[in-house]
Amino acid sequence: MNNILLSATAIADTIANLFRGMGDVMRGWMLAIPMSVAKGVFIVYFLLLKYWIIKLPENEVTLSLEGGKTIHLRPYALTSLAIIIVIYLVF
Amino acid sequence: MPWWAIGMSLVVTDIRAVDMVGIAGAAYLYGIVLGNYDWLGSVPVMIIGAFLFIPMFWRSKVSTIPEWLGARYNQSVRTISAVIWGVVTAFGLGVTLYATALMFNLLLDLNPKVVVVSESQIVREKVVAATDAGKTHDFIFLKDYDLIQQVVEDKDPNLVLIHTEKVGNTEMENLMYSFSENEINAEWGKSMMDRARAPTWSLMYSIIIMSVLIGVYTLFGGLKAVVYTDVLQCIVMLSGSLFVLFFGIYKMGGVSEFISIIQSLGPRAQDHFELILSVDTATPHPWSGIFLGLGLVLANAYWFGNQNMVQRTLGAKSEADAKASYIFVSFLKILIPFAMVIPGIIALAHNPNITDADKAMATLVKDILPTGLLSIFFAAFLAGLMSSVDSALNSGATIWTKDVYRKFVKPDASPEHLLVVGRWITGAMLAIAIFFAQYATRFESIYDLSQTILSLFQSPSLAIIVLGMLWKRATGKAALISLISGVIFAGTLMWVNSNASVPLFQVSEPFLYVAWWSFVLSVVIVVVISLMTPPEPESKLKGLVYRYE
Repeated sequence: MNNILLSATAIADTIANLFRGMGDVMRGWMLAIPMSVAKGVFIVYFLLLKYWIIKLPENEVTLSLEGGKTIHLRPYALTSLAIIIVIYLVF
Repeated sequence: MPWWAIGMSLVVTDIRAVDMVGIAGAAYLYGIVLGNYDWLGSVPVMIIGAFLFIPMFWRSKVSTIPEWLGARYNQSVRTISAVIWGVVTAFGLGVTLYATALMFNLLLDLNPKVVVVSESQIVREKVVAATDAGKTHDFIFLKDYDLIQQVVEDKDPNLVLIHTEKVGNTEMENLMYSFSENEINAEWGKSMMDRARAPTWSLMYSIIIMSVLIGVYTLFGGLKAVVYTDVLQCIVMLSGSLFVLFFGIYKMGGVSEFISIIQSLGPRAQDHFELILSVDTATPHPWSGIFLGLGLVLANAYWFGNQNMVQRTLGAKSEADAKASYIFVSFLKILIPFAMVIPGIIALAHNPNITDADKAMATLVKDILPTGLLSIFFAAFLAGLMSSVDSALNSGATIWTKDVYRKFVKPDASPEHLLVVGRWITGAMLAIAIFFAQYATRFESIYDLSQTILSLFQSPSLAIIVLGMLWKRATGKAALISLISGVIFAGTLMWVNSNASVPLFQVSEPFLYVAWWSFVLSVVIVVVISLMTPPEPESKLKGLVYRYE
């Protein structure tokens, strides 16, 4: 049993070593990013989504529900994202 | 079904008992960073889903995601995907049942009790770790020996452990044992638990009772019944959870008092009001993992690659209802961290000495809510439980019945026959879930466990769905190889991380990074192999690839 555990560790170590160098370099890059920039990444992601929604064609965001009532989804989607942006700015 | 009913059903299905226990427990340990799972992991993703993925599924008139994969790629992809999701659903149910039983036992005060008498916080923590009973027993800590008799009479503990510094000349009674700090180790802990009086009520009893009750409930209700029951459950659950938030803050003395209590806890709570944590954080939630693993992969996989969720919108009255339901949910999900995460932090302010974080929410509501209001919370909790279990059972049974049984065993099966088979499959899934539930105790946080399971399978599934929908060059062979190798790669990363001398990932639960890297690998495999294989016929792709009619 001990032998099996030892070989499992040896195999795991060999595979881990294949990835570790590359992983450490990437981790170093990530660590170098200031927290304010990291927060900016989240905000930019939300802003890009807002831009995408604004650019969507009208027929994809305005639809007729059963019963004939028309629903405009774009303003709701934009408001939802705006609230999220405020939350990320506060916390 | 109308958009508002589907929307409320999606919310209550998503907020499972696992979340009520697990998210609050994780928030107790790590703070508001857990809010990312809704604010980043749901809101933007629901909007992307509403305008991009959900309309595509709805127009293709499929009943399951594997069925869509079969139409877009080939039947092998459909079958493997169906089997994977069927298995994942059963395992996920196990975690849900465990979380539910944990909360159920705590709220009804069914857990066996262990009393530890010691002035030292470190000694108390060592005892809990050594006995390995933090999840299955309630620990009562006393600093003063004189209080033992009263506690023994009131709580009827199964074991009383007394630090030698407190014993003096006192005579030891039955089930009372003294110990010194030096002898605390796993062997001592095990021998003490062996000597304890056997508990009269096991966690497994609760798991089995819950399974039978909900199994019966689910067997006799279809998707429509599930959705309309969910509407009522959503109202009860959200109002119950938000009540805990407001009442909890009121009991703390207001928002500023609550914040100052948390800040006074020192380093363990210094980041409890930070949404974005450094890459080298000691928590499983560094910003890089949250953004890449959760925001770009797991969240998308969950909301439009998960049969549990997508099945709701496939039953919508119209495409407009399907889209509107997702936008509606994006609003409701903004509220969820206030109902689930902040109460976990309130629990920390209320009692920083809870030994098992997953008991934080239950401890909070039991301590602060008057008896009458406690029943409201209990109703909210049962609502979440019923909804999440019946939804998982319903979608799991649909996949096994339509994508496996009807395809391979009996292609000409009548609807009545499929209904009977679906009920047998529901029973089998519950049995697997009960079996798996007993292993859930091994993880520090239930939420991390459920995310770990999902991260193995969701990323490769997402990769083939996204590329299948957005890139008409993606081929069936590429998707099949990508799906299989992505799952193997994710499993390998998990295995290597826990078996290597030095863990591969420098984070306690690496599910976010595993999800990201298995997604990247799956995307690369689809792209490379697709370019090496003949393209799919154009006639097959119409209506299945975005803006390709």
